[in-house]
Amino acid sequence: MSAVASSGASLDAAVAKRLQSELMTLMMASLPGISAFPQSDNLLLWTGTLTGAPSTVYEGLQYKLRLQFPSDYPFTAPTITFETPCWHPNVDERGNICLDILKEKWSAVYNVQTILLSLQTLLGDPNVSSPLNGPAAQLWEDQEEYKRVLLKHYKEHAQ
Amino acid sequence: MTHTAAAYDMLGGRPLEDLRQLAQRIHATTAQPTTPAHELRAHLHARRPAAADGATAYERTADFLAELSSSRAKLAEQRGGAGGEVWRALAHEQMRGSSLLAAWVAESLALVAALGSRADALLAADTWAAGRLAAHRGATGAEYAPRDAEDALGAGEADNTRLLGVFVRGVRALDAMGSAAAWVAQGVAQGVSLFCTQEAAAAAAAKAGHPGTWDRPVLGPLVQRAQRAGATLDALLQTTAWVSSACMRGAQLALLEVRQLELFSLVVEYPASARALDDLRMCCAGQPGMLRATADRLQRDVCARLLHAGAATGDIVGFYAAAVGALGRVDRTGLVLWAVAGPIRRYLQGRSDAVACIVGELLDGALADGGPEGAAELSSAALLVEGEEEPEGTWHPRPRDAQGAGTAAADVAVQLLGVFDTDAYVRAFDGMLAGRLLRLAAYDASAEVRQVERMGGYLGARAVERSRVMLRDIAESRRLDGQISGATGLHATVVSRQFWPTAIATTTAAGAASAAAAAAREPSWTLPPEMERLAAQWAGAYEALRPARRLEWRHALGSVALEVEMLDGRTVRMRVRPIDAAVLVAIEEMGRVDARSIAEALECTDVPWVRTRLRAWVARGVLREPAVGVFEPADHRAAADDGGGALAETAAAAGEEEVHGEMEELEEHEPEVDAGVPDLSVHYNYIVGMLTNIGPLPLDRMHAMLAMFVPGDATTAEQLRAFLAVKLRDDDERLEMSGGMYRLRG
Repeated sequence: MSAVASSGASLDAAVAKRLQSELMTLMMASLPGISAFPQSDNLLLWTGTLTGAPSTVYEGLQYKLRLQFPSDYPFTAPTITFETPCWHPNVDERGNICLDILKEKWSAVYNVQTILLSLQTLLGDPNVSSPLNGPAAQLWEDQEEYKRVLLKHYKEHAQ
Repeated sequence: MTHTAAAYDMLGGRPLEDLRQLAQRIHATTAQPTTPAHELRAHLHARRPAAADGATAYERTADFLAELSSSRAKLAEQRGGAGGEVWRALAHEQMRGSSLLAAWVAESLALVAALGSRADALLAADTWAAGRLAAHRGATGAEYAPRDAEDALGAGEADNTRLLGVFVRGVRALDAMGSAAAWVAQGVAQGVSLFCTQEAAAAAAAKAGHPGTWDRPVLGPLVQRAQRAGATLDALLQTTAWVSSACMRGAQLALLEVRQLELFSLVVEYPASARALDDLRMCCAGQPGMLRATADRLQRDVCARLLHAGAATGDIVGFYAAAVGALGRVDRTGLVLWAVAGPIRRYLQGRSDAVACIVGELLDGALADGGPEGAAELSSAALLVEGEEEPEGTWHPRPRDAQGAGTAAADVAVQLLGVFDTDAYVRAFDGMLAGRLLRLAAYDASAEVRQVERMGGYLGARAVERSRVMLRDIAESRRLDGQISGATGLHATVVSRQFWPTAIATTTAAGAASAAAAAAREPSWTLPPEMERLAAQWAGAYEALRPARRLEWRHALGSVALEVEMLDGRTVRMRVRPIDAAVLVAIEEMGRVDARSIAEALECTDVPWVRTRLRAWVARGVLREPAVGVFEPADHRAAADDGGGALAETAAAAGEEEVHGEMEELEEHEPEVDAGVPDLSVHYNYIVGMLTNIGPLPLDRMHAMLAMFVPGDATTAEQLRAFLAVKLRDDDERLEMSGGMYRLRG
């Protein structure tokens, strides 16, 4: 990880251009609830902010993400983790995410914006059949109880 | 050898009962003391205790002498005199319990004196009394202090000297006798006198430091006095500045204590208290840790007395400003100021009106008027201080906040301006300036020009750019007034939308906070045709002169000079708000009406507001309200309530109105937006992005990131700042700034 991070200086011009244009797209679109920006001068490491979509149990909850782009982006998927602890069937306690487009179904046509939108969708619509967080997956059916546990978790960890 | 000497012989190892008997016998004997001094001396010298068993022997002697003291009292009583009285009282007190070594030695000396010489007996008794009192006070100081100490010793230098004189005479008498006990006397005398004089010095210091003596130096004379008293004793006791240096130190510490307690008031009274503050500085000098103690003490006082809801923000700011000068006088390292500045700043940051108060203090406070003079005073004081050596052990690194050895005014400005970030002051100043400029008579902004100059001095020329534009607008308005107004009698101030505070420049001033904004927040209404015609005429002339610009009137900010002719023939001149003039014009046409009709005539939806304006006229005696919510012109000719009669007269109720001069606000729309503030809306998206994800950022970081990530960016930091300043001003944005960091409202 650190090796990648320090490669900012020798960043391939094509990758830089791609990321810069993705940033531009993202900034100009300014979609509600999703945002991301390079952490510093390193274009390969971004911080994202994800807000739960309205009328889902995650409504209004805000999560910080870490987006690490590989030096051969977009041919390899970025590594995305939750920085804010997130209680979710497809997120483990270290913030790793189970989302197919970030793994086997990655394609170079995806971009930061589509990834963030997918993640926002995933929040409100988890894939309970392949959980990283068993208890959360089991509780998903009982939305009321799920929301109670979720808010308790959020209050304890995210604020 | 006499009975007395024999009695002393018998002391060794007798049981107490025997001693009592002895006391009886001695009592009888000493009624006519006859023992020659030299015999007694030899005797006592022989009986001087060896180091090891001395204590026991003397303790026994003490018991014995305690018994004996009552006889001494009787002796003294026979001789009469105040000294005897004092002695008796003290002897009695000693009998009650406290058997201090010093006490009984002193007593034995008195006894010796009494036995040795009839003439000196009373004197010795006085000596003992003084010594005893002092020694006792040394042991149980708390019982006597402070009232007693002041009464007995410190009430005045004269009393003090008298007491010392008595004591010294006693010691001298003993010395003359060449008594063997003189060595004890010396020791006791030293201790006792030290205590006496220190106590006296402290009491004198407390007196000298009493409020009202802040206008002259106290420490110098006090120390001199203490030194003189001490030196007398030093000479008698043959010590080298032993007593006097202790006395001086005692006096100094005592004054320090007094001044520390007063420091809060001293700051409030500054600069009248400058001399007292100098005393405090000199007291602290050479006393390790005293500055810190002073700082702690003041910090507690400030938190308890100033930083609470009951204190007006202006007072807190005033105290802070005074503290910069006052505490700079006490302590050049800035430690004391630093200790109070922290809490004050944190507290001020929680007060919404603090920015305005600070700007006010900078512009109108004592600082602004007496600036140069105060600065000169301080620098001369600083020169004075230069000579003093920094005492060892009190050196503290200069705190980061304590900047600048500049002038007093500059120091105060640096401190006050450090409470918030510059933009907050700029905004507050612009708001105040706008309010003042709009209230100007005849466009004379010379006072405001000076204010802008002064503010520019504090905040930097860049910060007052906007203010300068406002001043230019006023100058331009004056020119326009000369060209246009002649025919209309209407004087307008034309302001540029881009540069005047939002509250004034935009039509919807909802949520704006400044004072000027409050005036601008007025429901919409239309001018009466007469006024409307004048305004249109003016605007037409303006647009002919400045074809590219458009005017938007702000009626609420103007005023109308009216000449109202009352029903009784009197004429009243007054200057009122345009809405009031409009209301009066309407009622002049309509006669007896209710507020709703007036509101409809003015096309105003806010009926209660119109009613308030009508009632303002009722309060001025121009209208009256015969029934609730119904208004008509007042007729002072008919004192009686003439109900319907007034209605008939309304036609004559000539609120004849002459629009003498109308100052109204308007703004001009310049087609080219504004060269100074570039359109950075693309950048703004990035800024929102970085603030959302990274959190609060300072301007330079934001600028660096924009340069990196926005393709083809060539914005300068200043352009960015100007752009963000506009964003900050416009309330619809989520951007806010504090402590130099931009952030988004949550």
